[in-house]
Amino acid sequence: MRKIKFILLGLVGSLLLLTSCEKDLDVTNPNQPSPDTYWQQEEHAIKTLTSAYAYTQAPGMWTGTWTVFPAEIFKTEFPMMTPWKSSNRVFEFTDDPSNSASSGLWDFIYTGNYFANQVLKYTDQIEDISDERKKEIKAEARFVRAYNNYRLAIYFEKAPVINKVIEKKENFFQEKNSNAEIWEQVEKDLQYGIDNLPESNVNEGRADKYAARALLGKAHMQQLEWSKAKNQFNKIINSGNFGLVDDYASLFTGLNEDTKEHIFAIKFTHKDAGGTSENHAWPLMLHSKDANGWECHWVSKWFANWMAENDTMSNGLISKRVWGTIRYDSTINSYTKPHPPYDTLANGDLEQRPLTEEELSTKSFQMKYALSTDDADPMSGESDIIILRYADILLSQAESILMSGNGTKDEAIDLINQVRDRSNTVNMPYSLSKEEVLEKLRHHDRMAELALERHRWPDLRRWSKAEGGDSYSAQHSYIKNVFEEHNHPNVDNFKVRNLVYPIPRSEITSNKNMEQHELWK
Amino acid sequence: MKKNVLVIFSILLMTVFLYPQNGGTIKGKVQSEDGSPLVGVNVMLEGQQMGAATDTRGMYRITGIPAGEYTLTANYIGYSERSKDIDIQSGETLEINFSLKRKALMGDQVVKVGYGTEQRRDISGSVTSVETEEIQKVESSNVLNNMQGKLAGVTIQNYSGAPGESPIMRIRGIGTMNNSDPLYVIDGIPGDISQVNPNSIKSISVMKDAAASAIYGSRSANGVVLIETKSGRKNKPFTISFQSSFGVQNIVETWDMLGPEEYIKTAGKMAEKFEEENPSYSMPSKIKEYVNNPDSFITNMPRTDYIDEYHRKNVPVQNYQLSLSGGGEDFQYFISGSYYDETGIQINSNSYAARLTINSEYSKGNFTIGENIKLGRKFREPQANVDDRNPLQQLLGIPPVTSPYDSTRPYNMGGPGPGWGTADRNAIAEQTLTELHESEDYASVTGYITYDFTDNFQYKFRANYSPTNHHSYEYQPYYNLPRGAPNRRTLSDARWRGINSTIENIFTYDKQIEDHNFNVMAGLSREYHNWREVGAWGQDMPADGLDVIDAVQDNESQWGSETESKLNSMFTRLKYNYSGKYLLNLSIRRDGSSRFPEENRWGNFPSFSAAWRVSEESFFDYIPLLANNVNDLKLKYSYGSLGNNRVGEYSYIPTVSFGGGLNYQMTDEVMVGSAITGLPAADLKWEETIKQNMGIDLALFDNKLTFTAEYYDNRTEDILFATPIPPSVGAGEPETNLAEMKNTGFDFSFEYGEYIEDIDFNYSISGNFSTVENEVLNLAKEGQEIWSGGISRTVVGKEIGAFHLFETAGLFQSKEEINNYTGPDGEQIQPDAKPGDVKFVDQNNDGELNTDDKKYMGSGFPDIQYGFSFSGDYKNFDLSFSFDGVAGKKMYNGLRRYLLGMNQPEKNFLSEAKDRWTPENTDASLPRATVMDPNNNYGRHSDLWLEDADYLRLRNIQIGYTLPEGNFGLLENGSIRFYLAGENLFTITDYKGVDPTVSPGGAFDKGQDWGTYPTVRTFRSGIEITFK
Repeated sequence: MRKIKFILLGLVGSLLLLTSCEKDLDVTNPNQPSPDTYWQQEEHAIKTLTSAYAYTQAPGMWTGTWTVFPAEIFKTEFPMMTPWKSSNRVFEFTDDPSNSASSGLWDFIYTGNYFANQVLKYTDQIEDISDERKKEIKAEARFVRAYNNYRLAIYFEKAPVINKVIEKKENFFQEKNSNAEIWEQVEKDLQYGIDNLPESNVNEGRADKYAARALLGKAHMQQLEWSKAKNQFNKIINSGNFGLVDDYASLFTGLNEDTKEHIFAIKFTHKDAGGTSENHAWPLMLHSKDANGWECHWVSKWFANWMAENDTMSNGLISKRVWGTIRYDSTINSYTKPHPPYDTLANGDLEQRPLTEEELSTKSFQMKYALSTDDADPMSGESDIIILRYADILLSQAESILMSGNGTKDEAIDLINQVRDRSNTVNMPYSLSKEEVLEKLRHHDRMAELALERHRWPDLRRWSKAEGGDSYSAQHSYIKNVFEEHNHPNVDNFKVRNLVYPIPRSEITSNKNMEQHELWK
Repeated sequence: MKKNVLVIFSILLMTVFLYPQNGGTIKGKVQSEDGSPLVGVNVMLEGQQMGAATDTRGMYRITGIPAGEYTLTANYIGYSERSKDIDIQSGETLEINFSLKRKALMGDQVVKVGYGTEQRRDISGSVTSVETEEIQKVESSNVLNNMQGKLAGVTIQNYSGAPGESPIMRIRGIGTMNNSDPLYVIDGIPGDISQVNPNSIKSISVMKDAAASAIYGSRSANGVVLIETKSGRKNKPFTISFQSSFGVQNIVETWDMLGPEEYIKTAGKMAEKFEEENPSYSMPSKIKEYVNNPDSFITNMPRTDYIDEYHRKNVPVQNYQLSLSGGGEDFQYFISGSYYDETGIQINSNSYAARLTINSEYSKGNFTIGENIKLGRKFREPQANVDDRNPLQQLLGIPPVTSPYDSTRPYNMGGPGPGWGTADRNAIAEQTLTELHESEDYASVTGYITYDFTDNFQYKFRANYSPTNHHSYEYQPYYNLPRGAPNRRTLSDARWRGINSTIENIFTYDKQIEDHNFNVMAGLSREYHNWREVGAWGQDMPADGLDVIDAVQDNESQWGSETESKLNSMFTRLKYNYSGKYLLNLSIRRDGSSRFPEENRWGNFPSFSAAWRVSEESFFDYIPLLANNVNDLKLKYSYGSLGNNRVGEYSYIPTVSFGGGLNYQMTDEVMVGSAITGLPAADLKWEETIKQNMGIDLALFDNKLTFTAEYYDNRTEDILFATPIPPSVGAGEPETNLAEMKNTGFDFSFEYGEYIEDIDFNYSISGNFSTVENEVLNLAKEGQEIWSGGISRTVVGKEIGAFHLFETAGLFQSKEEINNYTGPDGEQIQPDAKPGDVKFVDQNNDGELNTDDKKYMGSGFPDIQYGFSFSGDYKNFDLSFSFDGVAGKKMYNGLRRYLLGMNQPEKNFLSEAKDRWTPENTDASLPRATVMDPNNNYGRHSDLWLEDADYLRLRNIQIGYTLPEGNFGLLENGSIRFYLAGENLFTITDYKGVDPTVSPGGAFDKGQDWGTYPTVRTFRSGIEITFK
């Protein structure tokens, strides 16, 4: 009998031992916080906002900015060849849904939106921030989302609009939205930004009220809503907060940042955090092999020569914005200073000289963003990549005036000349007709002023719609025509479907509700 | 029941006492071969109902034997029966001693199974075991090496032959894309097999099927290996045994490289041709120097045999072992210490292991308490891979007309130096100057207590605590590795500590009701694991010798992390047999693991097995052929579900990540960003394997021959795999339990053992043969392919990591042949080819060569493996040897591809390179040398570099002589054995690399050989001394 008691005691004891441990099986990860416990302070929201901004840089590799941005750079007539096949395919119009340039753009946009949506979701759960401040933080996140969706609307035309953090498997498979629905979301997010962002933010790498206005104006313009666009641009111009810097070339060197001309830019710097550097590899990649660079692309000869002939000062020498954009002498081994072609005078001063025959006939290279501020580390750059600047707003305003008919041709010419003056480019005469002004604005001023800054494809698309209407084939022939005139070597490959990027294969194969864009079916 | 037994006993006793004392008497001692007394041996007079059992000292006495001639037989379970003819007179007392030999293998052998033991004849699952003696015929620092080729269905391979390297064990193929290691249970406690002293092992059982391993539940899917170490035994005298051996090791095969003159001539010829071929090609200046003035270059050039410089000859390997054991009725103890030290054949690749085992057990009344303590230290110097480059590749590529030494530079270390183009690495300097080692101090402390409620009902409580402290250290002195890089001292210093603890409560109950035998076991256990790491790295310490992190001046960085997991389990097993004929075994384990989300935390792992011992049926006796020859015939089948919980901690918990790509300049400073970057594996569960096993166990001819044949079918489902999700979600791929895999095959093993008394010759022969067929049944999504290096591909329907390569069809001999090689539309398939280039097969006939043209070409995992061994002794001599081999194994010889890549004259080549295609040598097997390699002869991964790696190896051989038992001076009752042993004496293979037995790579790239440390050849001599 005693034994049986003993047995029972042992059994019961052991069972208790085990059942009491059920809860013990819960563990917490001591290495990383969990979302349930993380977002407690304002700093946490700001750090997540940081991640959302970070994905505008296409991070991941030092050269990442180059391997992902091609989708936005290479669909133009200005650059030539790169060692990256995927980028070349974009330039050759032989890309397909597997192309990593366009799928990379897609991935970075959606990852950025995933982070922006996290800011929106989790900022609300932080208790010790005022509602005002919450709105301000959320407005920045919505600006980033708007910038991402703005690019979706332009490059992919139709794509899913994702406004929430997707967590559950059943929500993974989003259908694509129409182009209008994307624009609608962009406008909503930017309007929220205009209402809640500060007048001016700490640096131009972060959104403020005017960044939201500028992007909203450009979004309207892209939809051919000229009056709405003009209205936003007006508010920027009339604010008196903005102006043009004197030294055009300095905008792209990393030495002249956060100026009155900057409205929004993607920040790069030699500073780092936790050993992760925040610079980019453009100086290395854009320099010629003669200058120990990788020669990842160069500027098309047609464009280099056109610039040299057409955007000149009154003395016939190339304007500041031409030499700030293009390096005609590829052998110059300086990574740190923009330099016009010059002669050294007897007294040691430098004097600008005309381009030589050789410079005009050999390869020319990109000067913008190709310089480093650091002699010790000349291969990596810290120049910010400008997304919105005042010169663009002035030219956009000119375009809106001309297209809306709301305002005079001379008002537009004044805006254009304001930009030309800064580079000492010969002024546009008032004698031109409205059509001639528009033509010059499109195919001279925007091209010369904003070259190689990722405006070209959105510009071409906008004009193709303005001229071609809703017909894809009419839009296509407008752009094809421009490419032909500008000696694009691959114009024969340019097909109607190249008006948009295909939805990436990785999305199509993993998303049962996703259908390819009709041009790519 | 008990009363009946007593009555019978009393009657028996009375008959003994009442028997008249007028016959003869036989007395004597029965002992085993090793001289220890055997208790309970039945010594019988044949044909008479007379006999006796031996007592605790092994003594027996039979009295009152009527005068006459008899046969006296000694019979003991697990030992060969022995008989002696005697002639006894009335009143005479004879002393007859027996020495019994252990039987090679038979049904009575006791085998360790999960949470208990079982007689082999009663096992209905698939368990295979190796005996102590067999294991200890090989000496090594890791017991897995000793088991190689010994067990059917068990594959043991080394990533490399480097000292201290841990081999990998796979039981019946690769079970999963994740961790396919079996669970090692050491003296009842899950542990690390590399910590076990091979000499202290008593038995190893490998549980291959569900019935045997399901009792280990969520960790048993890849099989379970039970290791039991030696302990003190009851009523044994104090025994000291000492073993020591000393051996020398050498490299077996080396690479046949071009010698200095051959090299520079070849390089010069190539470089000149390259210049013709491509005007923009410029020769490395040193080769130019040779071309311009060959004679003076050859006269003045240094000559180095880099293989010789890098490898040591006759390096020592030492093994020492001392153990003390003994025991009385109530108290037994065992203490053993060992030290194994191995010098590597390559520079700075030494290893040692020092281990101490202490265990004892004390019983009083119904209580037994005991402890088992293992302490140890392991140390090894892994190969210094600088910049992730394989040191052997670097070494062999260095031009032999350079010197690795340079008295004008620090440490007298030079290098190929300027003028040699890309060949700027000095592997000898890197290996000599880089100090890299890993060490581990560990302990495993177990205490237990058992209480016998009754004779057949027992309770056992066991607790274990096992800490491990690991240190890894790397130091580079003030030297530029590689050349051209700045001279910097670099230090890395990292430690981790692991803690495993286990608590178990186990009840066992036996019951026999007439012919029904029941055995029930039930238990509860809790386990806790914790792992914590901290490390630091830095550069520019001010002087050599300052090798601590505090001395670091620049680039200091540090890291640290922790993981923790818990496992709570309950398990039970019922064994039933009906008069030894029908066997049934049911087991179930319920595991709760903290590695899974709450809803998937608990899993049940049931199994059953059944067996029919046909030989016990009465009809068997009516068939004389069977009855006379077949001792045991058993048919068995098992089925069960097993788990694999080795999927990493926390993967189901969503986490916020920091830094790296998330950083951005938000103010003047860069801010560290944070976000959820990936989705957690929300539905995470363990991987589940359904195993089926059917087989036959056979014992023939007085148990001299035993034979087992089994067929198995194992399917693993729910393998955890990264699953693509739409990129529009924005998050990284979560892991999902989606993939599936299957392994099927046969295992055969046999053993024949016999004692030929006339000539005192005892021997046994054993062998095994097994097949495995692996097939991936499902991946995360349809059409998914996992490539590794463009060489190995994992797809549904094939083995995991199977080779997929371009098929070659010889060399193009003429321009015409190239032009005629066209696709369906007449387009040239290899327009860039020239005569002497490789012709690649366009498998899908689409006119171009791309990934789709890569063809399935087998896998790095063998289809068939086998082993056989012999052991025998004649009088005082003994001999044993064992062979093992595989068939159907392929290796991608990446090192050979590199050393024949004839597009760079500034690196050395294999001698084979002489047989390259030239217009004069069109019959060549290798393509032409060409600078840009426009045809991708070397760039494309093709079957040119895929080789059969089948082999047959003499794993070990040992010859011993034991001095006749007796007193050796101080040693009373001692025995001394001397032996000579050789390991890895020869290998038969067609593989062109140096070692077909090593198996580099993981599951997805198994068999890609980019140059590995080869297995060494060892000769040893040793001595074993035992005295009591």
